[in-house]
Amino acid sequence: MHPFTGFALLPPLLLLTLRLTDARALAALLVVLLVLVWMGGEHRVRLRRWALLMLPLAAGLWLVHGRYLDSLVFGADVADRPQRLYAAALLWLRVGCLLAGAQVALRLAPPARLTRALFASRLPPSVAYLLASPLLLSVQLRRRLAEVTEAQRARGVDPAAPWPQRARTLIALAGPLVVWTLSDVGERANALDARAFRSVPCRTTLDAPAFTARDRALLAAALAAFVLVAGSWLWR
Amino acid sequence: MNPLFSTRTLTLMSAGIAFNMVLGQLASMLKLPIFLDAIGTFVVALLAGPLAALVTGVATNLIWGVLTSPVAAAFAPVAGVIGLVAGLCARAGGFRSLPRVLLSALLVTVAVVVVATPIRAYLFGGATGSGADFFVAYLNAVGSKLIESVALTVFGVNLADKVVSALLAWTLVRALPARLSATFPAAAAVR
Repeated sequence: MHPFTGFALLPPLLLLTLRLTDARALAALLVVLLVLVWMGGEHRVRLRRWALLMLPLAAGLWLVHGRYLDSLVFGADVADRPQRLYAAALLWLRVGCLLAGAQVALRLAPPARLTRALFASRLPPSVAYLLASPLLLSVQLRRRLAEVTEAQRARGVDPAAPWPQRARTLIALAGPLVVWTLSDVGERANALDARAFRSVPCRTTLDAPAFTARDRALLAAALAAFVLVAGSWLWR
Repeated sequence: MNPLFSTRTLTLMSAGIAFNMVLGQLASMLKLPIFLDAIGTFVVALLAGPLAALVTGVATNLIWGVLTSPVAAAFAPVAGVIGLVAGLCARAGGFRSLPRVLLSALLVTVAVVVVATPIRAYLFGGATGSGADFFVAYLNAVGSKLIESVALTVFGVNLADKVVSALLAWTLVRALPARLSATFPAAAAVR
């Protein structure tokens, strides 16, 4: 499937989560989406990522909207607590549905395929470059950071020292990385200009991800779902 | 028609986005209680101006949103305003001395509060799942409205981060060799 297709499913999902006002319906939608995440590849990583965001958020919403500190610290009586917690639960379910839907979409767009799709897309070359090149550059920077850290360790910098000392090592670690990368900026720009970057709106890509009939069908389904949900909202 | 950004500025913005993505990792590697995910935006603000920094900030969060979760994408306007205000401060000479850098960091934090508070309060109900939620709940309990509690908490959480980010970016840009900094004609004065 084309990496962009998955993202087309998110707008109707967003609209649907806003449209649903019943906690049971939202919970059912969340279960369906989590099952879809579980059925896909890398499901452990994706479910863990979802849980790491959503479980602390549940605790935060429970603390803030349940107003338990009012009762525990100040002895106040919070009469409307059930209503407040119900509203917080609705919000949590909506965010949970969107995050689970995003995990389904992201499964279809791994960074390497997304980079190729961006370079091969009809986006203006500068926009495609700005969105895709940091994905490639960050891999190089991580490697450079590991090299800089190793070199600075050999010179006595201790990344495991007490925190004021660790804060001072920031310059020692970030400095060479930033200077090194900024020195490359001019060379990269010259290399791009030498290859007629932005002189023509279309680029040729050797292995552009294919946009198949299945992608077209899914896009049409996403558009139909969006119109349907928006229509039902307006009708009401 | 001339493009909005030169190729050199585009490659600088790309490097700035990559800095934002990697230096945040450096902060967690050193176990520092700050995000450091806007240093690249500050560097671009100092070397290429407010508009390039605004786009750098927004693009960083959109890419994070695609790579990890849409929560980062929801905060893209916040990242954009960090770049815009830092760039405007840099243009106005706000990075020429230490006191000015601290004042610029304070202005950036205020702008972050103005943009991030409604997003956090209305989109996420004032909670983020971090320890800061306790402060929101406490301020709420002592009589502040939810939006006021969120604003105060966002200010407290972001002040240290933005001061350290601004200082680090300023130190790094000041330390650039003159031969290298001369290749960025739109760079703001840093001394």
